[in-house]
Amino acid sequence: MRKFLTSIALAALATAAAQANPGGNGKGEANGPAGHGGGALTIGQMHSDIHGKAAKADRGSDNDRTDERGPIKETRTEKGRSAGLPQSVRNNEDSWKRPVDYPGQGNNAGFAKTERDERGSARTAIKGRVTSLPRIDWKGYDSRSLVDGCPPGLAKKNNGCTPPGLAKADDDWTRYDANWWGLRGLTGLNGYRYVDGNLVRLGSGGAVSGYYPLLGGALAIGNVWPSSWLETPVSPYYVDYYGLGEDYRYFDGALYRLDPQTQAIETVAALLTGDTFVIGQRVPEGYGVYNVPVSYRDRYVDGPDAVYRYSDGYVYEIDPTTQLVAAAINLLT
Amino acid sequence: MQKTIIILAAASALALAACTDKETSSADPSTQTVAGANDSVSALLAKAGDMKLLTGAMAATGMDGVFSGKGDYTVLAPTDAAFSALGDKGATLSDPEQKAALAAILRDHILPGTLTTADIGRAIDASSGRSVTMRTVGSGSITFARDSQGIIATSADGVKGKITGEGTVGSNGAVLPIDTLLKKV
Repeated sequence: MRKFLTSIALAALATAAAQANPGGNGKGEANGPAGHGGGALTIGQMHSDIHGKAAKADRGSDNDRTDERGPIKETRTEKGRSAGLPQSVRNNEDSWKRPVDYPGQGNNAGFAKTERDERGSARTAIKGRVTSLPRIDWKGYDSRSLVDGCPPGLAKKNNGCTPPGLAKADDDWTRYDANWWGLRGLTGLNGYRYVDGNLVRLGSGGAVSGYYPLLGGALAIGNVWPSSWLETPVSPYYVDYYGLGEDYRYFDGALYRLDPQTQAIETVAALLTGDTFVIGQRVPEGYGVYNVPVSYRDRYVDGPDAVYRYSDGYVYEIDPTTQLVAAAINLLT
Repeated sequence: MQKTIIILAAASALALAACTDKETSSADPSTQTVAGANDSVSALLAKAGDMKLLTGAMAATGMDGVFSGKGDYTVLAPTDAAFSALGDKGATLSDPEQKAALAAILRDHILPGTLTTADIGRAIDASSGRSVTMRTVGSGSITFARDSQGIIATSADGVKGKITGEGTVGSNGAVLPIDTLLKKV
């Protein structure tokens, strides 16, 4: 245990050092040529400490995953972007192709209606307050199908994609279900097991037939995004709010910023609740505490006519009597 | 640790009371004071003296990047002692093979937006059931209630932990220390 404490403390120091670097931009600078982020170096140190041997090459350096690289952005077709996604998601993608600004900004009246005089003067002056939002079906993304085939790391081990010894080192974690792993939109995961940073489905003979890559595991900094999971349509608002840059992906509550050329994960850019707030409908459960960001607290204060809650880049105005969402407030204005 | 003192007196918070209650209250923003709020959550964690293991774990999983960006988060931050209490399980989590498990644990300690202990306390007091629930960015939610020692957080799988201090508020969220990992491992 002392080694664990020491190694993670070393990681903390590494993080502090990285933060002290004024040139750091959080977008790949910490990634060495082999794709190691600060965390990857840390975990290597931790591994070395605990096992008393040189740390294994981290999966973040997975040059072997180059075969998983997707086609570069320019080669993708619009049709291809929706591959593997449910219809509800494809519908949203269509809406986001419209040449409009974010809800609450600009003259995008066809996209988002800005409330003017419906609830009195106190709130009509709120810039960015909108009463119509495109529904973001994060759960639709989450329920996408498995990545077919063998996880790259396991394929590299040249064992026919059979987890070695049925992954004896991972047995401690196999008893946990999809909820434990945070796979929100997935059900019926009986028979899956954790191997090499993925939840894998075992086919006949014990070979892996498909897998879900996991945050911090197969979807770690430096790893290449699974090529069969193409671009995820994300609203322009989120692209700007979270600074997603040129290339990005979403899965299971996390937005990842990618290197446009290599498709390697540069940063975990955001973690999302994935809750769907629909104006005119009841607020999702789990927002019992005022949680408006500090810089907006002087503007959005709970009162008898409205209360405010933050989720995934928006502040929502809620009628305290009916619990209905009255408006969303765009925080980029 | 050089703790920032946060006073968000009278700030809002009348609970949606687990989104079922109907209590409301007013808050006076003029009474809100936030000292040292220029630090990001990432910086707050790095400055905390008793959260080095958490900081290292966030870095190991690549999750630390989200706390330097524009998104707003509150971290229920297990202290070093909380990690140490895991014993052998903690040692297992430090294995590179288990970074995904570590990430799954950590994300259940992250809440959307900025919550202060004062916000939570007021919401509890205003709720009919004397408890309030907040969504995490993981797979579940956290329920807050009071006991004789202060505010207790309970995870969706029933693990209870005590918020051990005022916490700190930064430019993009807050850090609230807690004495237990809020997920069964």
